[in-house]
Amino acid sequence: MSKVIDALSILLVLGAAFAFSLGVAALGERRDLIAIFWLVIGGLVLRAAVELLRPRSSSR
Amino acid sequence: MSELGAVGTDSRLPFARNPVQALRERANTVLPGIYAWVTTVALPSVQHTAPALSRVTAFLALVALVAAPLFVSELPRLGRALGVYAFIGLSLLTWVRLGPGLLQNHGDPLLSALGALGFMLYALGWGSLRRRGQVPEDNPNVIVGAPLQPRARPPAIVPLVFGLIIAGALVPSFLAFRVVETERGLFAHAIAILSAILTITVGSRVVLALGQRRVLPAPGDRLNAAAVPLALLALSFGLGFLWLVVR
Repeated sequence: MSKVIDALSILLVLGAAFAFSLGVAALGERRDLIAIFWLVIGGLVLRAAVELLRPRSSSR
Repeated sequence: MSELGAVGTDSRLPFARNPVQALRERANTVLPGIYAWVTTVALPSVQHTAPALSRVTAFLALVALVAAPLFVSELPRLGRALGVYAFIGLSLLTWVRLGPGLLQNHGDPLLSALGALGFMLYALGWGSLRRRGQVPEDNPNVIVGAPLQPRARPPAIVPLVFGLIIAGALVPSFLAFRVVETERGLFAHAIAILSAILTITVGSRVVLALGQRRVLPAPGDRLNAAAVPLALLALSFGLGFLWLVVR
């Protein structure tokens, strides 16, 4: 199961790169709202990858 | 990684015996440099509107580029001055002399992007990696002490995954060159660079964590830790879907 989570974190990083690419592409097509949407998605996906890698301690 | 030609370093490549051997050993530097020079310096300089001085500086930049490997072994300061300062400085001078003519180059934007990539590889080529089989602790200048042992050997798939992440992180940078409008293109490049830095930073941490021996919490706890960003992600996708339906 732990390896599945590791694989998920890698997929999330790749997904973030894909989302950022969609955002920049949308920016070039003058679709600003969609660009912002994909850039926010990319940021959230990266954040999720970090949290999977370094989960918060339950003692906090 | 250390700088090639920097005085005081002992990580230089073996000394070259003759010019051909020197160029062959520095092919990883010279070839990207020549490509970058052709695409970004030579092509704009051969236009009819280009001033004569820009052609002279462009040619001198090429001379510096090719001459640098010939001196880097025996005279590292001179080789470095030619390869880094002279080549980059003369290329910069060429671009300054070209002025608006540089922007009138109707070449493919992809060519310019590849030229920038060539400059990046050229810069990386001026660094040098530790030679295979060389042990840093054998250096007489090393501080005596217990050698540091790696915590774990990374899995074989790590370089492949990391390469994939780097390639994915560079995609926005290439897409940014497709943006036509100047201001929008500048913003797209800034976004692309920022996203590349973030992706590579997080990706390197994710990949390096694969090879570390450490006790992680249970998979359920790890998923719970990522619950907030994953929930926000689901919410964003939901709102996006709703917006697609409503509009």
